Amino acid sequence: MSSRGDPTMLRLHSRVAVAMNTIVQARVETTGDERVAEAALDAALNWFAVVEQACSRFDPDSEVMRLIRQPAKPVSVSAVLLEAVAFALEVARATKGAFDPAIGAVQQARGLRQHYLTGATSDAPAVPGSYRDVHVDRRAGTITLRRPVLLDLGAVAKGLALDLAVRELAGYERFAVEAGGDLIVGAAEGAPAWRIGVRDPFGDGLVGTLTIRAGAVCTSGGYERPLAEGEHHIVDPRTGRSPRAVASVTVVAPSAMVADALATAAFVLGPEEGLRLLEHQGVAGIVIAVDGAVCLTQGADAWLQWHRTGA
Amino acid sequence: MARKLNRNLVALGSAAIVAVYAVGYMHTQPAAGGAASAAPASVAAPAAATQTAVRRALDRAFRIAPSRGGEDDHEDESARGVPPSVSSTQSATATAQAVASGYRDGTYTGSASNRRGSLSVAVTIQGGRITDVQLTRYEMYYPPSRIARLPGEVIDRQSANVDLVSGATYSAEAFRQAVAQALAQARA
Repeated sequence: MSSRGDPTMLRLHSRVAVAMNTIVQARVETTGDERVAEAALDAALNWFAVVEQACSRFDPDSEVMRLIRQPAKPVSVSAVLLEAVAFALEVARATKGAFDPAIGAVQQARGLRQHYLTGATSDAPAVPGSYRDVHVDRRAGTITLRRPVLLDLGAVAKGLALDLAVRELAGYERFAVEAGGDLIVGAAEGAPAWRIGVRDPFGDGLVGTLTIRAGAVCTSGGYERPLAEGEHHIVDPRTGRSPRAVASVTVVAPSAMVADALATAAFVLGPEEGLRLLEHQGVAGIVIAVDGAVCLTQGADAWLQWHRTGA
Repeated sequence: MARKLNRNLVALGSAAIVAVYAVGYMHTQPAAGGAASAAPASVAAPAAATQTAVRRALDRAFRIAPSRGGEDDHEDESARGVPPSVSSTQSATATAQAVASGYRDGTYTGSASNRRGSLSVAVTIQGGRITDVQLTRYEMYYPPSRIARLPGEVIDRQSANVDLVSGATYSAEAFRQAVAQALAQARA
């Protein structure tokens, strides 16, 4: 086709891969060279493999699982693992433990222990503990587990991978990376903004749409991976049970790691406290309570447009 | 307001990404690459071969898949309550070699579909471990009818109501079902 060079004729290039228990898609829209764009997509998707290898609780060979076999001493780790754990600890402190990466043993005991590909069950010899048992020394590049607690980086690793991946695509007219319903997008000046649907937690449709030019949109919902008896994959570290007041939380933030972690934390905290946390951290959010009430953070409309669908 | 008193997570998150990039991608390679050979799943690694296969599958999928243009397809009320279905399109080429894991070596396919589309995976097992998973078919009408169009297709903006959906886990759900189905055959 003869569309190259015509800015009104953006072409879509996309790649799909399997990682982190889900399907990952990267896409760019450009008038430029196809092969260059696809190399960028490959580079973007590769970050998911790198982050998964560092952070997976389900893979005994991952870096984080090697960590638990060396408790009570500083262990040198990759920048990816260091940043993932350091950030998770910051969220834990900011939420006073409503978010806690040291929840691995609890999740393992609740049955979240199967590798999504191998089916192998993980049975790491972990002791119960909290984020206070984990120490990160940024300067030395080390992590110390004061006790052999099992880290679950599920709520930060995917976001970190999204953030790293999307940087490979920056500069294109429009670009996005999406992984299992969490996503990060960008658009150059003059290119159309992104219209993002937010899934209805009670059904199959959309509860609304939001329009942003750049940023991450992450949703935590109890519908994602239900366990038995009202339990699902999100756990309140303080009770060891699934929180039930919230149906879903969607957070819009500059970074997917921030959005994903804060969505999980707000889900645990409940509608009121959750909204307060999001506002306090300066991100936009949509909290849908189990009774169907939809609440937005104050000032959210300053940088995104939110249109609610139907009633 | 009080925000400034606390450590702001948005700033910390951005700093984390910069830090990883500053250290450099190569630094993370030894850990990743070293373990990948022993790890069960070097699946996500977009090796050229994998990507070519995915691309080919995508090409095929979207030649077959009906293009659902600009309709308001997120308003499919009929979608509610329809349980996902798992269909069998097995074509296992298994050797009868059961290993400790309980999986026989071979390549097994699984398919799954729900209201939003369908996909197929091919799971390869060697030495009792999963060594590769590929998407061999991927036809998700929503949102991926808009995400994964035929590469190179000219985008018609007027027709799209939304570009992406947050919280939409249909393809992830279908993926898990398809992998489980493939593994069930490997165990049989």
